[in-house]
Amino acid sequence: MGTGLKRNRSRGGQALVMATVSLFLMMGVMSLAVDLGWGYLRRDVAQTAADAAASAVIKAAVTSSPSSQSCGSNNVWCGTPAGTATSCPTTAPTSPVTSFDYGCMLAAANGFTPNGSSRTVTIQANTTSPAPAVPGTTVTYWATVKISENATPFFGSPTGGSLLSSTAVSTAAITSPATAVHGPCLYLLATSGAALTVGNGAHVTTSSCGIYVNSSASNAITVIGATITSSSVKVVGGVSLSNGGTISPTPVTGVSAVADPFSTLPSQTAAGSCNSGNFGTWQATPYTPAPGTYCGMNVSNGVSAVLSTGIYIINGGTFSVAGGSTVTASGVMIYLTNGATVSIANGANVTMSAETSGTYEGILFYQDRSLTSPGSSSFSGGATMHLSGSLYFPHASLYFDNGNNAQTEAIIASSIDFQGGATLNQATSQSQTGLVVSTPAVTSIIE
Amino acid sequence: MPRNSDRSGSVMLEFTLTAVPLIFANVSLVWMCLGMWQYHTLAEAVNFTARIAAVHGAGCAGQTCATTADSTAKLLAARALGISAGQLNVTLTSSASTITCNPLSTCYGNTAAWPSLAGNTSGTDITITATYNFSSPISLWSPGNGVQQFNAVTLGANSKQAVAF
Repeated sequence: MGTGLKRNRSRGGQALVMATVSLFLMMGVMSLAVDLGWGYLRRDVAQTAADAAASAVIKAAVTSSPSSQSCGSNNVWCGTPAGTATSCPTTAPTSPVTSFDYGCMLAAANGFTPNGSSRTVTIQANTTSPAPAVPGTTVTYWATVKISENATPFFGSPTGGSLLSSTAVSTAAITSPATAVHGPCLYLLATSGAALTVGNGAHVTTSSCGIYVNSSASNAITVIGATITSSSVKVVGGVSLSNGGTISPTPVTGVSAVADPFSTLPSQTAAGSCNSGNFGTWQATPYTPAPGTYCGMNVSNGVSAVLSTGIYIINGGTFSVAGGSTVTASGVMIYLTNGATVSIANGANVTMSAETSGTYEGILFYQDRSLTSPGSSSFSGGATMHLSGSLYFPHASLYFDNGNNAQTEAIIASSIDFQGGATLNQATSQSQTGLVVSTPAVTSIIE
Repeated sequence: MPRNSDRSGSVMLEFTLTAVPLIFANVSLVWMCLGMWQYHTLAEAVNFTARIAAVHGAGCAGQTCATTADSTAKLLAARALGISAGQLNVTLTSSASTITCNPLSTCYGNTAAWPSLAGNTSGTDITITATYNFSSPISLWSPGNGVQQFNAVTLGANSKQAVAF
C-alpha cells in the first residue's frame, strides 16, 4: 500500500513537469522571434542613420562651398589622405564645422555614437568621380557612411557572442554641380495702383529674368500700345492691356506678394557737412569727386566727371546728370537720403557700375528706405546710359523713357513708368546686382 | 491494488489532457514565430531592394550601376534569408513598365532595365510588391477535419519609393 501510494504521488507531477518544459520551449521560441525582430529593427534604424549622416556630409559641403568642392577647403572634408575611412569620435560634435562633423552629428542624433567596442561609425569622402561604390556615375563630391553594430539581444545570445550583428552603408553625393537659377530682376513693391506702366510704344525686355508686381489693383500692370517680354511675369492683382499692348508670357495673376529683396540692407548716415557737388563750369579735365557726402550733385551739359570708387551720399537735392554731360563711375554706390532723387537727362553719357563686393555689392543707387514718400526719379539717358547694378528705390516711383542700353541691372522700386524701351539682363552672379543668384547643387543618396 | 490501477488511469488521463494542448500550443507557437520571422524578413528585403533601385535610378541609366530585373531579383532573393525564391512572387513596377516575376527565380537572367528608361526619372515612384505562401501545419491539429493539407497563408510586402538619383 505504502509503495503504491508513493508511486501515485510521483506520477501526479507529470503535468507540472510537462508544463514547465513547454514553458521553456515557448520562452525560447518567443525570445528568438523577439530578438530577430529586434535585429531587423536595429538594421533599419542603422540604415536610416547612415542615410541621414551621408546626406548631412554632402549638404554641409554644398552649404559651405556651393559652387565647387575642394578637399580641405571651405570645410569640405575628405580625410587624410583623401578618401580614407575615418571613425567618428565617441563624443558627438555639438558645434560642427566640417562636413565630417555634420555627418557624425547626424549619426549620433539618430542614435549611433561609436562606443569603442560594439558600435562603429566611419565616414569616407572624396571629390573623385565616380564614387567607388557606384561605378559609372559622375559626381563632384561623395561620402560613404558605414555603421556597424553588435546589438545586445533582449534574451541574450546562446553563444554569448554577438547574435545581432548588423551593418548599414549609405553613400550620398553631389550628382549635379551648381547651376545658376535666376529670379526676377524687376520688383515693384507698391501694394496698390498701377505699379508697372508701359506705354508709348515702349518695348520692355527682361527675357532672362522675371518681373514681380506686388500691387493688388486690377490694373497693377498697365500696358498701353507697348510690349513686355520677360521670362516670367507675376502679379498680385490684375493686368490691363489696351491699344494693342502685349505681355509675353501671359502674366500669372493672384500670386502672393514678394518681400523686398534688400530689406536687410543697412542704411548710410550722412556726414554733418557737405562736399561741393556742383560741376557746372567747363574744364579741360574731368571733375574727380571723391566718395563722401554731397548736398546734391549736378553735372552740367558738356562737363565730364569721373567718380572714384566708393559710396556717395546725396544728402538732399538731386543727383543730376544733364544732357551732353559725361559721368563715369566704377564700383560706386549712390546713396540718396533726405529727399534726394535722381535725374539723368536725355543724351547724358552715363557709364556707372556698382561695387562688386562688400555689403553693398551690386547696388548702384540706394534710396533711403526711411523716406516713405520720396519724389520720383527719372532715368532718361537713352542709348548712352549704361547702368550696371541695382536701382533700389523701395518707396519711390521711377520714370524711364528714351530707352536704355541693354545692361545687367535690376530695378526694385515702388512703381515704374516706362515710356521708352528698356532691356534688363539677368545677373550671372550676386556681385552684379546684389540679388542672390541661387546656385543649388543637386544631391542624392546614390547607394 | 485496485486503487492503484484507478490512479494509473487518472495519470494517463492527466497526461492526455495536458499533453495534447501543450504540444498543440508549442507547435503552433513555433510556426507562428516562423511565420512572423518570414513576414519581417520579406518586408525588410523588399524595402531594402526598393531603396537600392531608387538610388540607382536616373543617374545610373545606361551606366554600369544601373539596375536590371535580374540584379533586382537576385538582390531580393539574397536579402530574403530563409524564403525560397521559387515560392516568392514579385512584381516590379515603375511608371513605364511592370515586370512580373512569378516566381522570383524566373527573373534571374532577365537583363531588362528596371526601372525602365522611360519611367526612370528622379521623383517618379517605383514599387516592389511581393507575396509568399507560408504553409503551416497548424491545421493538422484541428480535430474532426479528416485529411488536411497544410493551409497556406499569403504573406505580403510592398515598398514604394521615389527614384532619388
